[in-house]
Amino acid sequence: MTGKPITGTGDNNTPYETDDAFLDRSALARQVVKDTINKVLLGAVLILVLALPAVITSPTWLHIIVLIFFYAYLTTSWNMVGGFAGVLPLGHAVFLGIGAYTSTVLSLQYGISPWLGMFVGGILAVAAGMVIGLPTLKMRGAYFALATIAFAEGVRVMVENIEYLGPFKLNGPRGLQIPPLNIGWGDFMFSSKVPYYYIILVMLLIILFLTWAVSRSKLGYYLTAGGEEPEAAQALGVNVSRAKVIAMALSCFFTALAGTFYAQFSLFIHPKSTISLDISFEIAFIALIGGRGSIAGPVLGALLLRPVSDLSRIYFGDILPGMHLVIYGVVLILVMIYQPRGLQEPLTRIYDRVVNRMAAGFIKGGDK
Amino acid sequence: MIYLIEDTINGILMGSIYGLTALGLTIIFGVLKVVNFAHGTLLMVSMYAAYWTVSLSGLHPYLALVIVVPVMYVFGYYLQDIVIKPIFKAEKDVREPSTVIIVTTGVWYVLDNLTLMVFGPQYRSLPDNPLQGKMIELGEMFISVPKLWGAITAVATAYAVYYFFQKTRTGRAIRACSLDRDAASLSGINQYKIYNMAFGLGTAVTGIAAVTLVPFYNTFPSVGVLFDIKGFIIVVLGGLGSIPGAIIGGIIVGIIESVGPQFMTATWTEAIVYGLFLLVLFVKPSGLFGVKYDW
Repeated sequence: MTGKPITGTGDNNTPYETDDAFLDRSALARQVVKDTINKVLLGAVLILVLALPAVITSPTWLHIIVLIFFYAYLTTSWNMVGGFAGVLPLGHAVFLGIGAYTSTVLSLQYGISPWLGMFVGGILAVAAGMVIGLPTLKMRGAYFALATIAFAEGVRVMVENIEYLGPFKLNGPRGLQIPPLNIGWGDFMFSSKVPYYYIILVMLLIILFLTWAVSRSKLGYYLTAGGEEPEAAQALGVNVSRAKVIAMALSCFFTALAGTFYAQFSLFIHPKSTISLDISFEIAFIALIGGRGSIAGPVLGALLLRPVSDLSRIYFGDILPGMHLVIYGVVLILVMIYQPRGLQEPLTRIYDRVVNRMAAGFIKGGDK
Repeated sequence: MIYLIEDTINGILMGSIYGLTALGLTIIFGVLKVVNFAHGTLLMVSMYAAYWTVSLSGLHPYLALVIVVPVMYVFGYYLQDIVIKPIFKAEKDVREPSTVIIVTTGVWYVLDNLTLMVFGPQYRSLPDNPLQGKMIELGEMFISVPKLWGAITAVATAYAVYYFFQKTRTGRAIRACSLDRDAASLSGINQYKIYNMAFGLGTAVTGIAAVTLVPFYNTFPSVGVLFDIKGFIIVVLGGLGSIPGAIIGGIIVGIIESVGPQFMTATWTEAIVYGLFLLVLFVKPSGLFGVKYDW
């Protein structure tokens, strides 16, 4: 778009000018202004998050923000299968664990950079996801949820009992410690939290872009159709199971990448911190409260819930243990009863109204 | 060899109690077609109810049934009525509403952590109850008395529930609802009231399970989680919605857990149970006694 103001009063030079009597030109103009406002706001948010580490220097706060992005990323990955495909995976932490363990074992024992190990972990997670997904994805509702829980818990129990898996040292319940010896980009290890911040930010942006692309692709439409009306979609020739399997593979792969990030960020992994039911449930909670099956939902959910969890742990942890989980539960129940599509729905509506009003204001301003 | 038999017997006894804890889950699934993720939490609440009843009154643990069962029925009835029903109404047309799973998970988190905040993380046991640590000697074998009582209660409860569903008017109404909601409504059955009653019944049965557990099991805020996942495994093994399936699934898990440690590290048995569960899910998702239509 050129920078020239577009008015609803008929300027013959506007590229949208047509002879079509049905075309409401004022609505079109408003749409263009709205698009511009959206883009400007998006740009502003981007600049804000890029500049954030310059403003927030406290490591505690940066840590909290990194975890918000980390969970937003995890939930967005979950959303590919849990949101768009309409099934309910409740064991995603197992893929996080596979990612974390793979890259850590490879770097500790063979000196392979975690950046490479990350993708090996991703591929292994896809393999594991297929083991559980292929037989169960076609099943209905609860069975898939139960199977994913059992799979994740089974793997956790196994990792807790295995000291050596073939040549690979897993160290059972004690977990693996990553000694901070080689600091630098090649080894995915930093003494400050700022590089981690930018890494997870870029990862989040990539997965958001990818989700956006998927939601607009044929796969996305297949998934939505299959998630809402599997029989109808199948009758129309949509291979629902195949679409779900692809979504599951994507979701597992990207969840595993987050596992490597987690391992390098905390430098210590053990079965209960990675393959834990709590993480699996937290991901699902964030998605459902934010709004499953939408792009903004997971980010919104993480943004709203993670601070509750971290701050209540910091301030109420001693007096009221489990406080944040009570809040999670209550919010979850209320959202499910009153806003079953998640909090993104009312918030999107409010945002749209504000942008509409702004657009109307701009157009009026242009008229004068 | 004698140990193997002893372990098998104790496994069957403990397994029947596992089955009893899962019975409520299967009742609720059978009627509402909802896997109640808050089931372990309801067991935990029941255990606290039983624990406080017994420790404050000093009665025989099984007398707590008189208080725990009605209390839990009312608790379940209103939990369904207030929290779960609104979602059910919104998702009327879905056969297995997945949102309900989420809401029950919310209930789980809220109740577990409220209990943690109110009663603290302590493990509570009933140290001087008449069943504590009692053993029957059978030749060289030792059979735990509280587990024996629990197993008898489990089988009796399963029979009673089965009889209730088959022979009474209300039981038939509940079964009608579970077969076809709409047809049942058309025949003049108030389906939401039936759901409340089924949920209350499932919770009351869980209360019975809790009473059999407190004489020998610790009560603590996250005790439900142990039985939650075990319960899912048991009901899928036996067939979701099947009453005998729950008890037999429970016995299978009980035997694996109690005989397994003879051959391997005890913690590995847990992995075997998960493996068996996944195997059943892949090969015969309807379980041993389940109806094929339900998956």
